[in-house]
Amino acid sequence: MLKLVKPRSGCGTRFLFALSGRRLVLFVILSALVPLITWSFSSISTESALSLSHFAKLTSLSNQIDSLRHRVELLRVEFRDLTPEKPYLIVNSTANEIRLMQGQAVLRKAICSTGSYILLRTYGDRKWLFKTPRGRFKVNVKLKDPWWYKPDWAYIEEGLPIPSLYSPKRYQPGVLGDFALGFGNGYLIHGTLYKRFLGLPITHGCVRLDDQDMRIVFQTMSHGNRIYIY
Amino acid sequence: MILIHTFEVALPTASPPSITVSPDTLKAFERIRSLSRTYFDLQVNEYFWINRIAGASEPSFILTADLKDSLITLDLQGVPVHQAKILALQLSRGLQDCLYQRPLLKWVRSPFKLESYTATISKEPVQERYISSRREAESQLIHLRDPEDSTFVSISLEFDRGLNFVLREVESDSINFPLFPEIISDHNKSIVIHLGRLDAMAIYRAIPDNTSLILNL
Repeated sequence: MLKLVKPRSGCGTRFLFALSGRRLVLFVILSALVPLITWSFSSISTESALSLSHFAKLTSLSNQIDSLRHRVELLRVEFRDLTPEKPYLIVNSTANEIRLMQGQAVLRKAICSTGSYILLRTYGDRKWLFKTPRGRFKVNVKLKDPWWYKPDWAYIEEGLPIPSLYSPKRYQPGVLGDFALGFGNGYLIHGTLYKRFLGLPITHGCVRLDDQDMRIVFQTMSHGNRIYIY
Repeated sequence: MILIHTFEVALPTASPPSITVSPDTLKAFERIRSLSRTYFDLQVNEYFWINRIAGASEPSFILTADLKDSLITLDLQGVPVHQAKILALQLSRGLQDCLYQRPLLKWVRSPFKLESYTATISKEPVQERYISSRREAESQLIHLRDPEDSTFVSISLEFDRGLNFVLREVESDSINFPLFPEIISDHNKSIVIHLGRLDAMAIYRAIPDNTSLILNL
Protein backbone atom coordinates (compact mmCIF):
# COMPACT_ATOMS: atom_id res chain seq x y z
CA MET A 1 0.00 0.00 0.00
CA LEU A 2 1.27 3.49 -0.84
CA LYS A 3 1.01 6.42 1.53
CA LEU A 4 2.57 9.83 1.60
CA VAL A 5 4.99 10.54 4.43
CA LYS A 6 5.92 14.01 5.42
CA PRO A 7 9.64 14.54 4.67
CA ARG A 8 12.10 15.19 7.44
CA SER A 9 13.17 18.76 7.87
CA GLY A 10 16.14 19.99 5.77
CA CYS A 11 15.46 17.59 3.02
CA GLY A 12 13.61 20.01 0.72
CA THR A 13 10.43 19.11 -1.04
CA ARG A 14 10.77 15.51 -1.45
CA PHE A 15 8.15 12.92 -1.13
CA LEU A 16 8.91 9.46 -0.10
CA PHE A 17 6.72 6.59 -0.92
CA ALA A 18 6.54 4.19 1.91
CA LEU A 19 6.33 0.63 0.71
CA SER A 20 6.51 -2.65 2.45
CA GLY A 21 7.25 -6.23 1.70
CA ARG A 22 7.01 -7.54 -1.85
CA ARG A 23 5.97 -4.20 -3.12
CA LEU A 24 9.18 -2.69 -1.83
CA VAL A 25 11.26 -5.35 -3.58
CA LEU A 26 9.33 -4.84 -6.79
CA PHE A 27 9.75 -1.13 -6.48
CA VAL A 28 13.52 -1.37 -6.07
CA ILE A 29 13.83 -3.66 -9.09
CA LEU A 30 11.73 -1.37 -11.23
CA SER A 31 13.63 1.71 -10.20
CA ALA A 32 16.83 0.04 -11.34
CA LEU A 33 15.41 -1.27 -14.56
CA VAL A 34 13.40 1.72 -15.74
CA PRO A 35 16.32 4.08 -16.40
CA LEU A 36 18.02 1.28 -18.27
CA ILE A 37 14.94 0.67 -20.39
CA THR A 38 14.44 4.39 -20.94
CA TRP A 39 18.05 4.84 -22.02
CA SER A 40 17.84 1.89 -24.44
CA PHE A 41 14.54 3.08 -25.78
CA SER A 42 15.87 6.59 -26.44
CA SER A 43 18.86 5.17 -28.36
CA ILE A 44 16.64 2.99 -30.48
CA SER A 45 14.16 5.77 -31.11
CA THR A 46 16.88 8.12 -32.40
CA GLU A 47 17.91 5.55 -34.98
CA SER A 48 14.30 4.81 -35.82
CA ALA A 49 13.50 8.47 -36.08
CA LEU A 50 16.36 8.88 -38.53
CA SER A 51 15.18 5.91 -40.57
CA LEU A 52 11.66 7.25 -40.67
CA SER A 53 12.97 10.63 -41.73
CA HIS A 54 15.11 9.10 -44.49
CA PHE A 55 12.26 7.00 -45.71
CA ALA A 56 9.98 10.01 -45.85
CA LYS A 57 12.56 12.05 -47.70
CA LEU A 58 13.32 9.25 -50.15
CA THR A 59 9.68 8.73 -50.88
CA SER A 60 9.09 12.43 -51.35
CA LEU A 61 12.11 12.80 -53.65
CA SER A 62 11.16 9.76 -55.70
CA ASN A 63 7.67 11.11 -56.22
CA GLN A 64 8.98 14.51 -57.24
CA ILE A 65 11.43 12.92 -59.67
CA ASP A 66 8.71 10.84 -61.30
CA SER A 67 6.55 13.91 -61.70
CA LEU A 68 9.41 15.92 -63.16
CA ARG A 69 10.38 13.14 -65.56
CA HIS A 70 6.85 13.06 -66.86
CA ARG A 71 6.82 16.83 -67.38
CA VAL A 72 10.13 16.71 -69.24
CA GLU A 73 8.82 14.00 -71.53
CA LEU A 74 5.76 16.09 -72.33
CA LEU A 75 7.99 19.04 -73.16
CA ARG A 76 10.12 16.93 -75.51
CA VAL A 77 6.98 15.86 -77.36
CA GLU A 78 5.75 19.44 -77.52
CA PHE A 79 9.07 20.54 -79.06
CA ARG A 80 9.04 17.68 -81.53
CA ASP A 81 5.56 18.71 -82.65
CA LEU A 82 6.92 22.10 -83.77
CA THR A 83 8.56 20.39 -86.75
CA PRO A 84 6.41 20.83 -89.90
CA GLU A 85 4.29 17.85 -90.85
CA LYS A 86 4.75 18.49 -94.59
CA PRO A 87 8.09 17.86 -96.27
CA TYR A 88 10.65 20.62 -95.86
CA LEU A 89 14.10 21.36 -97.17
CA ILE A 90 17.20 22.26 -95.18
CA VAL A 91 20.13 23.86 -96.98
CA ASN A 92 23.57 24.03 -95.35
CA SER A 93 25.37 26.78 -97.23
CA THR A 94 28.67 26.17 -95.40
CA ALA A 95 28.97 22.50 -96.28
CA ASN A 96 26.95 22.90 -99.51
CA GLU A 97 24.52 20.12 -98.68
CA ILE A 98 20.78 19.76 -98.67
CA ARG A 99 18.48 17.48 -96.70
CA LEU A 100 14.93 16.84 -97.80
CA MET A 101 13.01 16.08 -94.63
CA GLN A 102 9.64 14.90 -93.46
CA GLY A 103 9.22 15.11 -89.70
CA GLN A 104 12.45 13.78 -88.26
CA ALA A 105 13.14 11.51 -91.23
CA VAL A 106 15.67 12.38 -93.92
CA LEU A 107 14.09 11.64 -97.29
CA ARG A 108 17.13 12.59 -99.33
CA LYS A 109 20.56 14.03 -98.76
CA ALA A 110 22.54 15.63 -101.57
CA ILE A 111 25.33 18.05 -102.38
CA CYS A 112 24.51 21.43 -103.79
CA SER A 113 26.15 24.73 -104.69
CA THR A 114 25.34 27.95 -102.90
CA GLY A 115 26.43 31.57 -103.00
CA SER A 116 30.10 32.35 -103.66
CA TYR A 117 30.30 35.44 -101.42
CA ILE A 118 31.91 37.30 -104.26
CA LEU A 119 31.43 41.04 -104.10
CA LEU A 120 31.33 42.18 -107.70
CA ARG A 121 32.09 45.83 -108.32
CA THR A 122 32.13 47.71 -111.54
CA TYR A 123 32.11 51.25 -112.93
CA GLY A 124 29.48 53.63 -111.59
CA ASP A 125 29.94 52.12 -108.15
CA ARG A 126 27.56 49.29 -108.98
CA LYS A 127 28.03 46.24 -106.81
CA TRP A 128 26.47 42.87 -106.05
CA LEU A 129 27.20 40.45 -103.21
CA PHE A 130 26.48 36.90 -104.30
CA LYS A 131 25.30 35.11 -101.21
CA THR A 132 22.46 32.74 -100.48
CA PRO A 133 20.10 34.29 -97.94
CA ARG A 134 19.71 32.59 -94.55
CA GLY A 135 16.48 31.99 -92.69
CA ARG A 136 13.13 30.35 -93.13
CA PHE A 137 11.36 30.63 -96.46
CA LYS A 138 8.42 29.13 -98.34
CA VAL A 139 8.12 27.74 -101.82
CA ASN A 140 6.24 30.48 -103.67
CA VAL A 141 6.64 29.27 -107.24
CA LYS A 142 7.25 25.96 -109.01
CA LEU A 143 8.63 26.05 -112.55
CA LYS A 144 9.10 23.35 -115.12
CA ASP A 145 11.66 23.94 -117.91
CA PRO A 146 12.54 27.34 -116.47
CA TRP A 147 14.24 29.99 -118.59
CA TRP A 148 16.93 32.21 -117.15
CA TYR A 149 16.62 35.96 -117.41
CA LYS A 150 20.26 36.99 -117.60
CA PRO A 151 20.83 40.00 -115.31
CA ASP A 152 23.35 42.83 -115.69
CA TRP A 153 25.94 41.30 -113.39
CA ALA A 154 26.18 38.21 -115.62
CA TYR A 155 27.28 40.39 -118.55
CA ILE A 156 29.68 42.36 -116.33
CA GLU A 157 31.27 39.16 -115.03
CA GLU A 158 32.05 38.12 -118.58
CA GLY A 159 33.17 41.58 -119.54
CA LEU A 160 30.40 41.78 -122.16
CA PRO A 161 28.28 44.80 -123.06
CA ILE A 162 24.94 44.93 -121.27
CA PRO A 163 21.89 44.71 -123.56
CA SER A 164 18.60 46.51 -122.95
CA LEU A 165 16.28 45.30 -120.21
CA TYR A 166 13.83 43.69 -122.61
CA SER A 167 16.32 42.30 -125.09
CA PRO A 168 15.40 38.73 -126.12
CA LYS A 169 19.08 37.86 -125.73
CA ARG A 170 18.59 37.96 -121.98
CA TYR A 171 16.22 34.96 -122.02
CA GLN A 172 18.18 31.71 -121.98
CA PRO A 173 16.68 28.20 -121.85
CA GLY A 174 18.31 25.15 -120.25
CA VAL A 175 20.70 26.97 -117.95
CA LEU A 176 18.58 26.34 -114.87
CA GLY A 177 17.95 22.66 -115.54
CA ASP A 178 14.52 20.99 -115.86
CA PHE A 179 12.90 22.27 -112.65
CA ALA A 180 13.05 25.24 -110.31
CA LEU A 181 11.52 26.28 -106.99
CA GLY A 182 11.34 29.96 -106.11
CA PHE A 183 11.51 31.16 -102.50
CA GLY A 184 11.36 34.91 -102.84
CA ASN A 185 13.33 37.95 -104.07
CA GLY A 186 14.35 36.18 -107.26
CA TYR A 187 16.18 33.33 -105.51
CA LEU A 188 15.66 29.82 -106.88
CA ILE A 189 16.55 26.24 -106.19
CA HIS A 190 17.26 24.79 -109.61
CA GLY A 191 19.24 22.31 -111.66
CA THR A 192 22.53 23.14 -113.32
CA LEU A 193 24.76 22.58 -116.34
CA TYR A 194 27.86 22.96 -114.15
CA LYS A 195 27.68 19.62 -112.37
CA ARG A 196 31.42 19.42 -111.72
CA PHE A 197 31.13 22.44 -109.43
CA LEU A 198 28.48 20.92 -107.20
CA GLY A 199 29.62 20.99 -103.56
CA LEU A 200 31.40 24.31 -104.03
CA PRO A 201 30.28 27.87 -103.22
CA ILE A 202 30.00 29.07 -106.80
CA THR A 203 26.54 30.49 -107.41
CA HIS A 204 25.21 34.01 -107.43
CA GLY A 205 22.81 33.26 -104.61
CA CYS A 206 20.64 30.48 -105.93
CA VAL A 207 20.91 26.88 -104.77
CA ARG A 208 21.97 24.49 -107.51
CA LEU A 209 21.27 20.78 -107.46
CA ASP A 210 22.01 17.81 -109.62
CA ASP A 211 19.18 17.00 -112.05
CA GLN A 212 18.03 13.84 -110.30
CA ASP A 213 18.04 15.48 -106.86
CA MET A 214 16.21 18.48 -108.25
CA ARG A 215 13.53 16.26 -109.75
CA ILE A 216 12.89 14.57 -106.39
CA VAL A 217 12.86 17.86 -104.48
CA PHE A 218 10.49 19.36 -107.06
CA GLN A 219 8.13 16.39 -106.84
CA THR A 220 8.15 16.30 -103.04
CA MET A 221 7.84 19.99 -102.22
CA SER A 222 4.61 21.89 -102.81
CA HIS A 223 3.63 25.55 -102.68
CA GLY A 224 3.98 26.79 -99.12
CA ASN A 225 6.38 24.07 -97.94
CA ARG A 226 9.22 25.34 -95.82
CA ILE A 227 12.82 25.89 -96.78
CA TYR A 228 15.42 26.44 -94.04
CA ILE A 229 18.77 27.86 -95.11
CA TYR A 230 21.73 28.40 -92.83
CA MET B 1 7.61 5.87 -20.08
CA ILE B 2 7.33 5.80 -16.30
CA LEU B 3 8.29 9.03 -14.61
CA ILE B 4 9.58 8.71 -11.12
CA HIS B 5 10.33 11.90 -9.29
CA THR B 6 13.33 12.29 -7.07
CA PHE B 7 14.59 9.58 -4.90
CA GLU B 8 17.00 9.38 -2.21
CA VAL B 9 19.11 7.25 -4.47
CA ALA B 10 20.66 9.25 -7.22
CA LEU B 11 19.53 8.18 -10.65
CA PRO B 12 22.10 7.57 -13.30
CA THR B 13 21.83 10.68 -15.52
CA ALA B 14 21.10 9.78 -19.11
CA SER B 15 23.90 10.87 -21.44
CA PRO B 16 22.91 12.67 -24.65
CA PRO B 17 21.86 10.10 -27.23
CA SER B 18 24.86 9.30 -29.36
CA ILE B 19 23.97 8.72 -32.95
CA THR B 20 25.94 5.84 -34.22
CA VAL B 21 25.33 5.73 -37.93
CA SER B 22 24.57 2.29 -39.11
CA PRO B 23 25.49 1.06 -42.59
CA ASP B 24 21.82 1.24 -43.53
CA THR B 25 21.70 4.90 -42.57
CA LEU B 26 24.80 5.63 -44.61
CA LYS B 27 23.22 3.92 -47.57
CA ALA B 28 20.13 6.02 -47.07
CA PHE B 29 22.23 9.21 -47.04
CA GLU B 30 23.91 8.19 -50.29
CA ARG B 31 20.61 7.35 -51.86
CA ILE B 32 19.17 10.72 -50.89
CA ARG B 33 22.23 12.45 -52.32
CA SER B 34 21.94 10.49 -55.55
CA LEU B 35 18.24 11.26 -55.91
CA SER B 36 18.84 14.94 -55.16
CA ARG B 37 21.32 15.05 -58.04
CA THR B 38 18.86 13.30 -60.30
CA TYR B 39 16.26 15.87 -59.37
CA PHE B 40 18.71 18.69 -60.10
CA ASP B 41 19.52 17.24 -63.53
CA LEU B 42 15.85 16.87 -64.37
CA GLN B 43 15.15 20.42 -63.29
CA VAL B 44 17.88 21.76 -65.58
CA ASN B 45 16.53 19.53 -68.35
CA GLU B 46 13.05 20.96 -67.84
CA TYR B 47 14.35 24.53 -68.19
CA PHE B 48 16.21 23.45 -71.35
CA TRP B 49 13.07 22.22 -73.09
CA ILE B 50 10.91 25.12 -71.87
CA ASN B 51 13.44 27.56 -73.33
CA ARG B 52 13.72 25.67 -76.59
CA ILE B 53 9.96 25.77 -77.02
CA ALA B 54 9.89 29.47 -76.20
CA GLY B 55 12.76 30.02 -78.67
CA ALA B 56 10.55 28.77 -81.48
CA SER B 57 8.84 32.14 -81.50
CA GLU B 58 12.16 33.90 -82.18
CA PRO B 59 12.56 34.80 -85.86
CA SER B 60 16.28 33.95 -85.99
CA PHE B 61 18.68 31.12 -85.20
CA ILE B 62 19.29 30.12 -81.62
CA LEU B 63 22.00 27.89 -80.27
CA THR B 64 21.38 25.00 -77.90
CA ALA B 65 24.05 23.00 -76.12
CA ASP B 66 23.01 19.75 -74.49
CA LEU B 67 26.15 18.78 -72.60
CA LYS B 68 24.45 15.69 -71.16
CA ASP B 69 23.79 14.21 -74.62
CA SER B 70 26.93 15.82 -76.14
CA LEU B 71 24.96 17.65 -78.80
CA ILE B 72 25.07 21.20 -80.05
CA THR B 73 22.14 22.29 -82.19
CA LEU B 74 21.10 25.22 -84.31
CA ASP B 75 17.35 25.82 -84.00
CA LEU B 76 15.34 27.94 -86.37
CA GLN B 77 11.78 28.62 -85.28
CA GLY B 78 11.43 25.33 -83.51
CA VAL B 79 13.19 23.20 -86.13
CA PRO B 80 16.64 21.80 -85.34
CA VAL B 81 18.29 22.54 -88.68
CA HIS B 82 21.81 21.52 -87.72
CA GLN B 83 23.00 19.13 -85.07
CA ALA B 84 26.63 18.40 -84.27
CA LYS B 85 28.25 15.94 -81.92
CA ILE B 86 30.43 17.41 -79.19
CA LEU B 87 33.69 15.53 -79.57
CA ALA B 88 35.37 16.89 -76.48
CA LEU B 89 34.33 19.17 -73.67
CA GLN B 90 36.19 21.38 -71.24
CA LEU B 91 34.62 23.07 -68.25
CA SER B 92 36.19 25.79 -66.17
CA ARG B 93 36.89 25.17 -62.50
CA GLY B 94 34.50 28.00 -61.68
CA LEU B 95 31.67 26.16 -63.41
CA GLN B 96 32.59 22.71 -62.19
CA ASP B 97 32.49 23.91 -58.59
CA CYS B 98 28.95 25.17 -59.06
CA LEU B 99 27.51 21.92 -60.34
CA TYR B 100 24.60 20.64 -58.27
CA GLN B 101 24.52 23.86 -56.31
CA ARG B 102 21.24 25.69 -56.06
CA PRO B 103 22.50 29.03 -57.54
CA LEU B 104 23.32 27.18 -60.75
CA LEU B 105 19.64 26.43 -61.32
CA LYS B 106 18.92 30.12 -61.37
CA TRP B 107 21.88 30.68 -63.70
CA VAL B 108 20.66 28.30 -66.40
CA ARG B 109 16.97 28.97 -65.95
CA SER B 110 16.68 31.37 -68.90
CA PRO B 111 18.55 31.61 -72.23
CA PHE B 112 21.90 33.40 -72.33
CA LYS B 113 22.11 36.46 -74.59
CA LEU B 114 25.14 36.98 -76.81
CA GLU B 115 27.03 40.15 -75.95
CA SER B 116 30.18 39.93 -78.05
CA TYR B 117 32.27 37.46 -80.02
CA THR B 118 35.63 36.93 -81.63
CA ALA B 119 36.65 34.33 -84.18
CA THR B 120 39.55 33.23 -86.34
CA ILE B 121 37.27 33.12 -89.39
CA SER B 122 34.99 35.72 -90.90
CA LYS B 123 31.24 35.70 -90.70
CA GLU B 124 31.05 36.15 -94.44
CA PRO B 125 34.07 35.05 -96.52
CA VAL B 126 33.71 37.82 -99.05
CA GLN B 127 36.05 38.01 -102.03
CA GLU B 128 36.04 41.26 -103.94
CA ARG B 129 36.20 41.50 -107.72
CA TYR B 130 36.35 44.67 -109.71
CA ILE B 131 35.55 44.27 -113.40
CA SER B 132 35.18 46.95 -115.95
CA SER B 133 36.39 45.17 -119.06
CA ARG B 134 36.51 41.75 -120.64
CA ARG B 135 40.23 41.56 -120.11
CA GLU B 136 39.79 42.07 -116.41
CA ALA B 137 37.05 39.43 -116.37
CA GLU B 138 39.28 36.89 -118.04
CA SER B 139 42.36 37.63 -116.04
CA GLN B 140 40.91 37.36 -112.59
CA LEU B 141 41.14 34.08 -110.69
CA ILE B 142 38.36 33.20 -108.32
CA HIS B 143 38.75 30.93 -105.33
CA LEU B 144 36.13 28.28 -105.82
CA ARG B 145 36.68 27.10 -102.27
CA ASP B 146 36.35 29.03 -99.06
CA PRO B 147 39.43 31.31 -98.83
CA GLU B 148 39.65 30.41 -95.13
CA ASP B 149 39.94 26.74 -95.97
CA SER B 150 43.08 26.20 -93.92
CA THR B 151 42.40 28.57 -91.03
CA PHE B 152 42.06 26.88 -87.63
CA VAL B 153 38.52 27.55 -86.47
CA SER B 154 38.10 28.94 -82.97
CA ILE B 155 35.11 31.03 -81.97
CA SER B 156 34.70 32.67 -78.59
CA LEU B 157 31.18 33.78 -77.69
CA GLU B 158 30.65 35.99 -74.65
CA PHE B 159 27.19 35.68 -73.20
CA ASP B 160 25.56 37.49 -70.33
CA ARG B 161 25.82 36.19 -66.75
CA GLY B 162 29.53 35.73 -67.24
CA LEU B 163 29.39 32.76 -69.62
CA ASN B 164 32.25 32.31 -72.03
CA PHE B 165 31.36 29.73 -74.68
CA VAL B 166 34.06 28.59 -77.06
CA LEU B 167 33.67 26.51 -80.21
CA ARG B 168 36.86 24.99 -81.49
CA GLU B 169 37.53 22.63 -84.33
CA VAL B 170 39.06 19.33 -83.47
CA GLU B 171 42.74 19.36 -84.35
CA SER B 172 43.54 16.68 -86.82
CA ASP B 173 46.62 15.43 -85.01
CA SER B 174 44.85 15.00 -81.68
CA ILE B 175 44.38 11.33 -81.01
CA ASN B 176 43.12 11.20 -77.48
CA PHE B 177 40.11 13.15 -76.41
CA PRO B 178 39.10 13.29 -72.76
CA LEU B 179 36.24 10.91 -72.15
CA PHE B 180 34.98 13.06 -69.33
CA PRO B 181 34.82 16.84 -69.27
CA GLU B 182 38.28 18.19 -68.77
CA ILE B 183 38.53 20.87 -66.12
CA ILE B 184 40.36 24.01 -67.19
CA SER B 185 41.91 26.14 -64.49
CA ASP B 186 39.83 29.19 -65.18
CA HIS B 187 37.72 30.58 -62.40
CA ASN B 188 35.21 32.11 -64.76
CA LYS B 189 32.32 30.16 -66.12
CA SER B 190 33.77 28.85 -69.36
CA ILE B 191 32.74 26.02 -71.61
CA VAL B 192 34.98 24.91 -74.46
CA ILE B 193 33.42 22.63 -77.05
CA HIS B 194 35.42 20.75 -79.62
CA LEU B 195 33.56 19.74 -82.74
CA GLY B 196 34.00 19.20 -86.44
CA ARG B 197 35.40 22.05 -88.49
CA LEU B 198 32.43 22.39 -90.81
CA ASP B 199 30.03 22.20 -87.86
CA ALA B 200 31.80 25.03 -86.07
CA MET B 201 31.86 27.13 -89.23
CA ALA B 202 28.21 26.47 -90.06
CA ILE B 203 27.08 27.39 -86.57
CA TYR B 204 29.17 30.54 -86.40
CA ARG B 205 28.10 31.82 -89.79
CA ALA B 206 24.44 31.19 -89.09
CA ILE B 207 23.99 32.74 -85.65
CA PRO B 208 23.02 36.42 -85.62
CA ASP B 209 24.66 39.01 -83.40
CA ASN B 210 21.79 38.87 -80.91
CA THR B 211 21.47 35.11 -80.70
CA SER B 212 20.59 33.16 -77.57
CA LEU B 213 22.17 30.08 -76.06
CA ILE B 214 20.14 27.48 -74.21
CA LEU B 215 22.19 25.24 -71.97
CA ASN B 216 21.61 21.78 -70.53
CA LEU B 217 24.43 20.97 -68.10
